[in-house]
Amino acid sequence: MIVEIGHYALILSLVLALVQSVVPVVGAARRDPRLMAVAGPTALFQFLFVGLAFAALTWAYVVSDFSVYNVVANSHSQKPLIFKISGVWGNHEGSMLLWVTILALFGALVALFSRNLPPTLRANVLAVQAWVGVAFLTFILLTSNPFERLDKPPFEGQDLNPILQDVGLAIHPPLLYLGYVGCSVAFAFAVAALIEGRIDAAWARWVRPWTLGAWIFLTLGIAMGSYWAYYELGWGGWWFWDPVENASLMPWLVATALLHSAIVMEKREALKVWTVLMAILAFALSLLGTFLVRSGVLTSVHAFATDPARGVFILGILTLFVGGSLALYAARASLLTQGGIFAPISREGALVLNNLFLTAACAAVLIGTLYPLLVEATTGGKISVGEPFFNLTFGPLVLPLLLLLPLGPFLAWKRGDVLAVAQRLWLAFALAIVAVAVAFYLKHGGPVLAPFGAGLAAWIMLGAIAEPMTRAKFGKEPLATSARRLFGLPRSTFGTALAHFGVGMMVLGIVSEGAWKVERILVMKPGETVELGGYGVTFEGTVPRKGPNYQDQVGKFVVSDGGTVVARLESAKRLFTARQMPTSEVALETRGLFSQIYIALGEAQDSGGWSVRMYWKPLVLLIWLGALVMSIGGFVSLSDRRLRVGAPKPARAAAALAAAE
Amino acid sequence: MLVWFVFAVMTVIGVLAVLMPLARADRAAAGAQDVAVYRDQLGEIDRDRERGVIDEVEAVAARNEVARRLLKAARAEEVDAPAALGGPSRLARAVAVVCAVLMPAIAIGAYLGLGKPDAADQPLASRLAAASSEKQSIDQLVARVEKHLADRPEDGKGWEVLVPIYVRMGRLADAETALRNTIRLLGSTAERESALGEVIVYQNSGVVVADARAAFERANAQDPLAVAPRMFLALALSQDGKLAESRKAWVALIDASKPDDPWVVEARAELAKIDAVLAGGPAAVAPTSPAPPAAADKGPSAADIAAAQSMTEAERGRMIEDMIASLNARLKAQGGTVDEWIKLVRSYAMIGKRVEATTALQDARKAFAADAAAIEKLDGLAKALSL
Repeated sequence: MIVEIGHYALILSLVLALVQSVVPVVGAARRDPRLMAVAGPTALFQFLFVGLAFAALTWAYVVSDFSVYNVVANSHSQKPLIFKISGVWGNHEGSMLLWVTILALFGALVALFSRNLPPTLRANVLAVQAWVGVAFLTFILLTSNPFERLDKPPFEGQDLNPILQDVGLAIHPPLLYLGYVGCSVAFAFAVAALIEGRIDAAWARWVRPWTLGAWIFLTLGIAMGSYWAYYELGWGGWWFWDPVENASLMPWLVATALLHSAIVMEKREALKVWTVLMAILAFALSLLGTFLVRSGVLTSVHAFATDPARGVFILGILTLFVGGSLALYAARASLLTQGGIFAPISREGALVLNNLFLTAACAAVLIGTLYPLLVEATTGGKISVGEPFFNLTFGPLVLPLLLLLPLGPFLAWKRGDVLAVAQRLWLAFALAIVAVAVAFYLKHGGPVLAPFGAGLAAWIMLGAIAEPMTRAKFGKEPLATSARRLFGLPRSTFGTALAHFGVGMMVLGIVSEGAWKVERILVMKPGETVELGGYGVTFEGTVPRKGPNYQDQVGKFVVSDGGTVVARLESAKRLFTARQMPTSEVALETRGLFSQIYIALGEAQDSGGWSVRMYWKPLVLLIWLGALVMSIGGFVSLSDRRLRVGAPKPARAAAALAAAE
Repeated sequence: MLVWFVFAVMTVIGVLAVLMPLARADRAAAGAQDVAVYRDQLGEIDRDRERGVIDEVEAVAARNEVARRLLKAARAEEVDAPAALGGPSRLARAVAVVCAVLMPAIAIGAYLGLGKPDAADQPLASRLAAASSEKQSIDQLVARVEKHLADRPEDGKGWEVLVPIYVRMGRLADAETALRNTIRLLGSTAERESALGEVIVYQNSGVVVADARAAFERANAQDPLAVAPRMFLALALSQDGKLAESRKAWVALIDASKPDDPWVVEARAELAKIDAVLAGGPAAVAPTSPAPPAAADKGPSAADIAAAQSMTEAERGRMIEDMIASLNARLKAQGGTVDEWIKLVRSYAMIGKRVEATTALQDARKAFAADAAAIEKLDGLAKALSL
């Protein structure tokens, strides 16, 4: 009965979403407060019912109810509890249910916290959210129903795809979906503004925190996915320019742009039209990501769905929302009044530059992702666009962005002074040059440009630290005064500094891992020792071991540094018995703070040895820690709930006047 | 019936969520939000000034700017007509009626189309418990024994009971695990080892792989007269291309048997095949081990084979090599199915070109790196041919 209640709850939430998508819009158009008021409760109860449906499906997984087809296809009674639960969204139907659950959650949150919004805006925003909800709930019920039942339930399930049986999977999709779906809030605000033909003051105050929230989760989700690929796939790489990864990177790039343009909007009421466009594009790319992953257009681990009906349905949703919103934008954007003006060299100008580079980089990724699909669709030929393409397009677009990044926060609003900024940043720049020299001295091997990459990372990190320090006037006023000023700075300043510092950490990790890693692929016999990045790695042989639903062949390794044993590692080939599918369990040992030894056990060889892949990856952890620091910066900024007013730098005459008063 | 009662309650909650706001009295008219935001902003500028985040010049400039916006918003507000007050509009009443009727209708209608109201929940634990009191199907029996073994994996008798059932159900991998556990816990006997070998052979489409041969050898060592291990070992020899030794083994088996023993027919058939090959027959390319079906395979035509039969030994060898080479070239240039690759590797191994076989295997692994099922097949092949 619980399963059927979940099924009915899902249908009821669709019915509520239908009401929510029509009645408030009519109310807003006719200024009828009662009709507009329908939006809030429907959003709350829609979430209640979707949540109930999700809970019912989770229950079916936990108790291994094999009368539910979805459970049979993706679970196994012997699976550990955590993977029974994560299995709920480890498949197409369940993950779509998670998608709408999060969508409904955001709708409910908007309804709860929007008392101070103008009622028409609130009604329209919630209605637009409901449109998305209707589309996806219909999609689930008609093509991907997770509550399908079997008359003759089997006694055992087919198990979850083994490489998805991992803690990484328990966390990665929910984080990513929080990000994807979070973009729908900004989208709903943008479309609502276009429907009304005006942007309220509250609009800007609302869009930025929602975007920031979505951006935080996107950042964490992508980083988590990247780390998962790093330790689970056993190839030692952390980013493959795989279309599925690109699908998550594109909304991130646009959300980052949106985040920055929303700052301009909130503080200075400028860039309104552009911000609306960014909000639409961020969600459009989230939908595109969902389409690419869910439709089975791409063949990869992620493409659970292979039924073409689903692909066509999602393509329909995509066309409807992207096409519809862009058409609306074309028709109505001219109605939106432009806000404050600013000089080209100013904080606003810097943020515009940031937006241009980010959107251009996103376009490069979009082309690289979609071009092979277009070629295959039109000519039937298969081409692959890989790392070289992205290095040549994405790289040159991101490099100037990174180089200019430390300058932006130093520029004044409305009109800035590059020379003054240069004076404040010369120390950071000098230290960055020192970093290049140090990198040259320490690392003789590797590409010539690598030390400059390290210098770039230092430049970004030092610039990020310099900004709050300068604002606190360290070195200009007594230490105590500066310290007091530092603590008096708004939290959003620290958020910015942290996020930018995180970018620097990530750049350092990427440069170091790319340029100075050591790779050994060889056949090892038990007792053999090889040198790896200054450590000795001894292979001790393998032993079999049995897990709850898998069988391991565990390779034992000893890592020693100058004769002393520093770590004993186990790297395993794991065979999942239900699906007879092998996976690799990589051995990781962190040395120093951020560097890792990476060992993946390969196949047994005839000679009695085993093929082994080993890597020494200097500073590799900085890649993900950088992303973590970026999202912590986001959280810090989000916790700052003050109103934001960007104090403009007045023109000289006015300044003199003000001083004279 | 209970389920319908729950559905009714849920539907009422859903409909009320829509009707309540439609019926509730109006709250204050809207429209003052913009002005409120700008007022708050002015307050924020003062607070920033007090904390020293901005200096006085900046504060004045910011205040001027916000004040300009405030004035504009206040003016706009006067123009905006205030929202209608009073009772529910006619439209609101109509919406309420439509929702109250249509929402339950759509929800129930859709559910009747999609759902199964009578389908009860069937958690595995309660199904297993219920199964013990009712008549027990094989499935239920197996599931119960499996659960018992999951708790007490050292029960060798339990594993042994499962073996023939697994074999009958076609769950060969499980049968292998069960047999290995039986041997580990209850000790090795000729029957158990031989059964293990057979299960492995069936999983490898008839090829006596190294694991299987080891099992048969253990069985043979314990009971040299047991027939099944001897037959499979003889088969293994011919699959390895050691035809003379295989022939000897078959002959020995037939000599030791009475003419009407049931296995003699098959033994004689194998012997005949080997003799045909030794005499230079067409079966040279693939003795006994059934090759996997190759889809869209450009194999030799009947004419080719007929031609091959009238060739000399050397010519025939060259023709086979040519065919393999063309298959190799095609797969390298255009790719192919995993089965085609497997055929290529097998063919190389069969004509003794182990280096080429290994290279082809590596190429195949590369081509199917993303396909776990294919890699598994290739791994099986590598093991079978001990490459």
